[in-house]
Amino acid sequence: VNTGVSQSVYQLDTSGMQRLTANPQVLLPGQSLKLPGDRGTITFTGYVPWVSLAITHDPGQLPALICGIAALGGLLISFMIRRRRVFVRATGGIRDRAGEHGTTVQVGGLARTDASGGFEAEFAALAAELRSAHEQAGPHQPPAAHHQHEGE
Amino acid sequence: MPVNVALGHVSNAFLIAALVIYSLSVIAFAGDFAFGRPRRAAVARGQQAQDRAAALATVGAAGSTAGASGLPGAPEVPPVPGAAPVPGAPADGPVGGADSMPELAVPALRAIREAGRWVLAALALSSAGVLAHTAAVITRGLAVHRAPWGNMYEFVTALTCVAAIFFLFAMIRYRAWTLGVFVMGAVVVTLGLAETLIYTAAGELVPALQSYWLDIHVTAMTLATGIFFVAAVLGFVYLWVDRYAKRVTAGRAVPGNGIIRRLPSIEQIDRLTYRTIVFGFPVWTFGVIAGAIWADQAWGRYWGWDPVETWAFITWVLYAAFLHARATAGWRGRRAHYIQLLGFTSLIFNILVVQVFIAGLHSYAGVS
Repeated sequence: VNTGVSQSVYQLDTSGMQRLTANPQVLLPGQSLKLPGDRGTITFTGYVPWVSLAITHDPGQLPALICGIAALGGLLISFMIRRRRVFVRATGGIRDRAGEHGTTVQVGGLARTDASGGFEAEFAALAAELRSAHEQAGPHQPPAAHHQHEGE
Repeated sequence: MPVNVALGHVSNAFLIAALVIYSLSVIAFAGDFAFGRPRRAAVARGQQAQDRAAALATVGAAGSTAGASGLPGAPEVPPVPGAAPVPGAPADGPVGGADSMPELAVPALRAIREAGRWVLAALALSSAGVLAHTAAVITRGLAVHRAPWGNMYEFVTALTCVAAIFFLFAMIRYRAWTLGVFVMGAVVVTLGLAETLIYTAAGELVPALQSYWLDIHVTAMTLATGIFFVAAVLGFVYLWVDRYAKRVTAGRAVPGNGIIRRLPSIEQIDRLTYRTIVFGFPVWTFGVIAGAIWADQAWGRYWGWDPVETWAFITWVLYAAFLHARATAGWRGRRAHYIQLLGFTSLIFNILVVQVFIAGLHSYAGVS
């Protein structure tokens, strides 16, 4: 034991030991067993109940738990919320080629998080909706759509 | 309560049945490539390209009149950059946008019927396989009176079940049955390997695992691994299609590969992979946190850099890197998928190498 080589408490290192043939026998405390070939006796002297305890104190536990839950919540929110902006600008008093005054409607879109895609289609649908609303309102030239799509 | 051995045998029979049915579904998926209806796909593509061209014409024309003015506060960019051809996209494929999944307009059942007899057969077989697989997992759980993912063999059968259920759902939701041959094929191989190499009969758990935290922590890890499994297969398909498109551009391959032509476009595969990982990532995060809480109860500290804890964290970092890479110029596409596959590699390394061969507190694999 005191050679410096570490040994497991739970496993016996049997190298360098010799196996004896003896009748296995249940021993109660105080009983002994004679070993064959006059090698002496083994006596079960008794046992001491023991328990192994590891006591830790970590004041950082609760903050770590709260931060972990907050991180998970933030993660879910960041995945569920899609940030995108749409700008609509109507400019009046512009003379077109035919010499008529009209209003130019510009539509711009900016997707901040569009990793799963779909903003372009959404923007096109919005522009189409504006256009059809305009066509219902009056027989003017269609509004101009300007699509600005920036990466995430 | 003793282990119900008879029910354990029922579970094994269900699992073998699932394996056979899955194999048949893979054959049916492959049969669709060989004998299915390529015409419909081509017609849909053509229609889609026309729609796209029409949309581009109107938006482009408007952009040329209004593009110069820009918008206040918004940085100047060339008009309609989002519609510019994406480098590496197949020349005959559609480009970008959610409208690149036009089939979504058609109800799922009709879309399946229109996809032809092979797809119908493959989906029916996949569903039957999933039912048998789920029955196998449930009967195993009833036989051993606990969550049936307490050792390596049970974990693999459960995670492939998650992968199959998840992919069946995604396949129908996104009409992506042409990807079925890859994912279901991978499920068949994994399940077959588990069955032949690491089969463990229904049995009791080591006392350290007999906790309700097994139901929370390991369930989350199983779910996430099953989902990441699907993402990894899709990542390989992505890299294959991407490589082919690059070779076509370089003139080193003939365009119109019979299989790739019928797969969803590379953007659709990319987006499906992304959605899969976005679904799996919070589950993995939750699993790691739940594991930390269990570790605190069982070992007196919530994080001790145990090998398995460390590798779960490395996996988490890699998948987080994938999510960031997709939003970083120069890292999206191919490179992002490399990161994703690296994440899955570290996950597999954790399961196969760290838990089995490296001594730590997590040595419960039951493989010897």
